[in-house]
Amino acid sequence: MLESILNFINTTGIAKLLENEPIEIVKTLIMYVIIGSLFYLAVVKKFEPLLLLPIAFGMLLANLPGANVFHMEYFFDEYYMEAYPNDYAAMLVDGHIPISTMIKEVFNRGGLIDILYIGVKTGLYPSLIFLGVGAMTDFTALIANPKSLLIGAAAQLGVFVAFSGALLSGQFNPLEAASIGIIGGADGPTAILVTKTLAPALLGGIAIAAYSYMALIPIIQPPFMRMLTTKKERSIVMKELRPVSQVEKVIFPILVAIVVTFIVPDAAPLVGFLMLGNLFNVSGVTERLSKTAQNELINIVTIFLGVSVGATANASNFLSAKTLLIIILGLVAFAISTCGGLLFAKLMCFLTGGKINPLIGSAGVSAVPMAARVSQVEGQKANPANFLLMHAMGPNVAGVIGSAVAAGVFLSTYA
Amino acid sequence: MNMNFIMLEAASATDVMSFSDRASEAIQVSLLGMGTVFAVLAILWGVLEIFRFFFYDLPNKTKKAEKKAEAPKAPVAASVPVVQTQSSDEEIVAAISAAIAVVLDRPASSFRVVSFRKTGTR
Repeated sequence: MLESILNFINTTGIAKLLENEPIEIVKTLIMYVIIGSLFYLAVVKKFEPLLLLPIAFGMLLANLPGANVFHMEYFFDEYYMEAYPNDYAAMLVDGHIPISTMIKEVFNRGGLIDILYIGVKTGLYPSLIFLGVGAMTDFTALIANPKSLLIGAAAQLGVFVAFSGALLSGQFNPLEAASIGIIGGADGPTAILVTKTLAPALLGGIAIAAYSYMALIPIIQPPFMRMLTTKKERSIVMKELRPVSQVEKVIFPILVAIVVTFIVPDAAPLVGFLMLGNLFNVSGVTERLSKTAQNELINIVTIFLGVSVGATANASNFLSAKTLLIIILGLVAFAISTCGGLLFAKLMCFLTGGKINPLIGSAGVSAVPMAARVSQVEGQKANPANFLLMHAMGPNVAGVIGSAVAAGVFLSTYA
Repeated sequence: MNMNFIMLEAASATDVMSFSDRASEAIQVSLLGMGTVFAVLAILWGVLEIFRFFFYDLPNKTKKAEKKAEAPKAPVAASVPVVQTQSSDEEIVAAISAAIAVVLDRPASSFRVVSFRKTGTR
């Protein structure tokens, strides 16, 4: 009887926690504080709650001792080496564990989040999220004013500056630096797709940084917007956009998918699905598919993605100087992308003789539609008769395409 | 022996890259990246401009030309568009009145629209 009770006690989470070294226990407790702050930000402050809440809960599940819902070692070589040092050498093929071995491990010994994580590992979730985003996004402003595509390109500057900064810091290899840089694209699914491919061990930190900064856009961007533009420029009222025909709306997604994939094939999973979702929406003949993509499907995938990405952040890999550096470099990436877009829009304002309000430049960082809303708010502060929302949506959606292309460049260079 | 090889594999690439190597890698990839992003989006811009000509400008010009061509042929029917415009104006007035009534939560008969001012321009 006593033995049974002792056996039971040994299987409890408390016993598992106390089995660890004191430093590991402290690290786990610090993780709980971080997770608690993420819950606070999501629930009370409403910072990207749809993603931050599942991410925080995934982190919690992964850090509960004995829960065994997620095993990093099934997916990442370096963790496999630590967990199964004797098996590891025999299992290597071309220096890596074959995916078939990992899948076998997941099905034989895996936990709940191991199963869910397959969708991240295969790149399924980011593409499905893009399908929903495409169905929800209105590209009319971009079709009416295609010049704004260039602002979306300029706003990717932060991606490459942060990549260079991470590489030059000496703390990250080029693959990790690319994953950090893509935070500047202000696009969660893109950041996750690049990171799961190039630096999966950093996935937790990068996803949390990307989504937190996206939520903080209304705080991060305005100081740069005011610093880089004059009151006169901010007051510019832009000419009303031309109407867009139905034919243009339908051909646009097909055309973008073809052009982008011909030049950067690695961007196809993102841009292809983004455009497929948009085609569902604008074609007028697939209303049911469009509704599913922008409601049920994206919601289900968001839950799976958030929980499984959060679970990659355990005490041993998250509590490190690298995570702190990722958070700093992520902020630099966001700030420089904002400045890149603003400065390019300023140049366009000059070249067009003051027809473009430079405030729409900051919306080039993707983060649809929050960045465009910030342009609208700042524009109205300078001139209450100013309605920049639709004008800012052009660079905003161009930024989504631009960040997917930047991701494609990293993947084709390093994957 | 095998484990040593594994350790080397797992070691960070930064261990074997000098600062100048990293700087050169950063510059090359950044130029390639920004160049590609600008090139792809600039090509899309160009394609969309062509696109605009064929699917927006051209059909609109054709319609205008057709209207101009039709106008002198049928002077008798000239009164019809006037009637249509009037009817369309009435519809617009009805729609605006209904919208104001909904916003104010009052019946349309309880207010009178005195003037309109277009916003978005000074």
